Amino acid sequence: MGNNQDFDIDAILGKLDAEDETPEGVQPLQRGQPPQAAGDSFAFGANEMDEIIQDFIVEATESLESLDHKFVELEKNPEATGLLNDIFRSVHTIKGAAGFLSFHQIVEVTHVTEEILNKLRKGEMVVTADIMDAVLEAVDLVKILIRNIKEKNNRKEETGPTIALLHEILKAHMPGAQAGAAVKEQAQTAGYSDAAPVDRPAIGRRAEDKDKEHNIRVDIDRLDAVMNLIGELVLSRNRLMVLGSKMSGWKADDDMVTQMDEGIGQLDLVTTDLQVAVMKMRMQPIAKVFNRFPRMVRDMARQNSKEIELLMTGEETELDKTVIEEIGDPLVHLIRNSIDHGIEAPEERIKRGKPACGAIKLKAYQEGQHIVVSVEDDGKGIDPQAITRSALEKGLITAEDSAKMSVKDSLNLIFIPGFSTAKNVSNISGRGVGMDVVKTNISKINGTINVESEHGKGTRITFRLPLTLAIIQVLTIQAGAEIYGIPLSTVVENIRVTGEEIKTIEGREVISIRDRVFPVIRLAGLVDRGGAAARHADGWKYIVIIGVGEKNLGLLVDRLHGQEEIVMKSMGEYLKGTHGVAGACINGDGNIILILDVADLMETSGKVVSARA
Amino acid sequence: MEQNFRKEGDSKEILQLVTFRLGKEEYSIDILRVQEIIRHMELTRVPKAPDFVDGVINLRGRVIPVLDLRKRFGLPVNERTDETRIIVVDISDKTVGFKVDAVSEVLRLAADKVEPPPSLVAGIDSEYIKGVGKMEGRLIILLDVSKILTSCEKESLAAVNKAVA
Repeated sequence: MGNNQDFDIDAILGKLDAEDETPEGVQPLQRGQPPQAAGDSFAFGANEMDEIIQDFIVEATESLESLDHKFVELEKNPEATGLLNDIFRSVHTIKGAAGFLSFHQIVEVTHVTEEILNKLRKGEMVVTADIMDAVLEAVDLVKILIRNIKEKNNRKEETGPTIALLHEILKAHMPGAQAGAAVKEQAQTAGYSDAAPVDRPAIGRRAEDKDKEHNIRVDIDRLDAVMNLIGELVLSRNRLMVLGSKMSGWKADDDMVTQMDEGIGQLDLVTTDLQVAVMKMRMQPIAKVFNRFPRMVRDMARQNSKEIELLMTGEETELDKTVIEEIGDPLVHLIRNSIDHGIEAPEERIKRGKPACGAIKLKAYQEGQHIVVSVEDDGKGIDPQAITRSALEKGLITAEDSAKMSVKDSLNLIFIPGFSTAKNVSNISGRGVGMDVVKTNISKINGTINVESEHGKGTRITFRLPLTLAIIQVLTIQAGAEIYGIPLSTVVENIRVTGEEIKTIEGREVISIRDRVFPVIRLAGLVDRGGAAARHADGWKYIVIIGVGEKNLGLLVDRLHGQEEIVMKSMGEYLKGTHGVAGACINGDGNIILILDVADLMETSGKVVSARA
Repeated sequence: MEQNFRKEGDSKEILQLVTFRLGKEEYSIDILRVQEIIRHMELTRVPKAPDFVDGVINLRGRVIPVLDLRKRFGLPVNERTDETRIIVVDISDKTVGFKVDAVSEVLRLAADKVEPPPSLVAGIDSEYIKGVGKMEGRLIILLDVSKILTSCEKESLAAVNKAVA
């Protein structure tokens, strides 16, 4: 595999140089076909070809992701030649690889883009917002083309307009020989020869070699396998520790027992360290998510004719891969909100004595066992009264509620489903689905969300996220003969009740706690498939109020056991997707405890309600 | 290991089978499918799983579902005894345990002693029966493990769909 890859890169780069001279050589091939015709040395089997294409997709996607960030940087700092060279190299590498693999549309687009970049690099053109727009458009197009290859959907994208736009720019800035060329011929005839000096790929290659020494790509499944093994190791250690303490109870003064205790202690330390080390392997810097924001902010600010500066700190903060994957969308939403509703137009800002350029601060840092991510803007803030009024009008709260509400309560109204204060629905935000989705998504990854805002001064929304999803805190409870775990982050409160306190409304059990009515699910009934659960009213029971987003539900359980830190395991291929169960964990004595999927329980109970209504 | 079996199988057409009892019938599955055979252990029941899923067990740190073959085949459920065993099988990246009354032995059976399944055997849909082996007056039902699983899945899927609708 390793050798294979080395060969690929050499082949690609070698081909790249060759192609710079003779682009027509690869033209007769159709996109997506193995380029056997390109030469005997490139005769790959279908599998190898697939692997090469996969590698290309991964690498190209990665470098495109970093490109956005670099372009925005470049716009701020047009003189940075290092940066320009960097960008140029990335585009050039993609073009080369795409050419080798006969993805002609990508070659066409990247080729013109590269030409513009080359001019910029040589100082023949100056970076302007218009040029950036066009180049970014081209980058987006390449992204789409690569996605098409990835999805194998055989879709053809219209590359003409973008290429024409790029040529327009080239023509405008460089009245030269290529200016007259017709668009359809350009991909073939436009000056390939001056595209890349011969030494360029060599530099690129050296950089890649350097990366290789320090990083390897590992399939996440392999890491999970290691994780599982460590879980087993932990169990064995626990068993040994129990045995060890029994032994020392019997023969406290025996030398062998003391030595064994030491041995077990050592094992305990190493196991814990090992667990932490593997956990770290799954960590990725939050920059992976943050990187796309400068571009997004730039584009949206231009669309809205606002001036906005994005300040990011703590991009190096590391989070578990699964958490990283989940927080992207909520953050996009918040930033869109800030741009659309938060930051005012420049004139308005000046009127209010603020600098014309608004600022959005994106921060990430670690705080104990949590990662805190916040989005802060210095825009017009949220008016608690306006929110309360709007919620009243929509009938989301009663007049009585609104009178009792603190400022904080009012602000939290934005998380109620169906709430939006935006007067106009724009294509960016204001459709009334928004903050509730953000909150639900964050709750799903066991995070919490907090909003602070000062009317007229700005808003700050803060996420608190767990470092990892692999270890979670659960509340263990007993219902009937079964013991279940409920993720602690979803537990609102526990209340001791008697059976009589549970009332029935329209055939559905509910409980009223401090004037709020919660639907009740009897957990013991879950496993006994309904009916069988005896509804005896005697004795104390417990209601665990759980909440995801703004929805709450009461679970009726027999006993509360306690709080435990557990390693979540999947239910295996066969039972994956069982309703109401998120996974399982194995406790100290080797028994399996099922972890309830609170969001799913709510959905299912919601269905019951609507079915009966 | 695997190759040795293959070679023998090729030359003499000998099947190696793990046989087990369910009620009075003797069943068997291909030994290559069997990962291990364990004693019955404490199960954790799974809410909303298909009826024939008895629960999950902890097999050295892995969570593995256990299917009660009696329930699967529509036979009356009986109490577990000292002989109850769980046969852990590996079918294309799925690991599943089958609960059976007792595991008898590992058998070698010439392939020509196996007859195609009769249209209906002991209430089991003949879909999962590969054939019936005859050996010294015994009749051994050869099961196709992957078929048992897929039809299980179809049913559980249907159950899920029903629950959603």
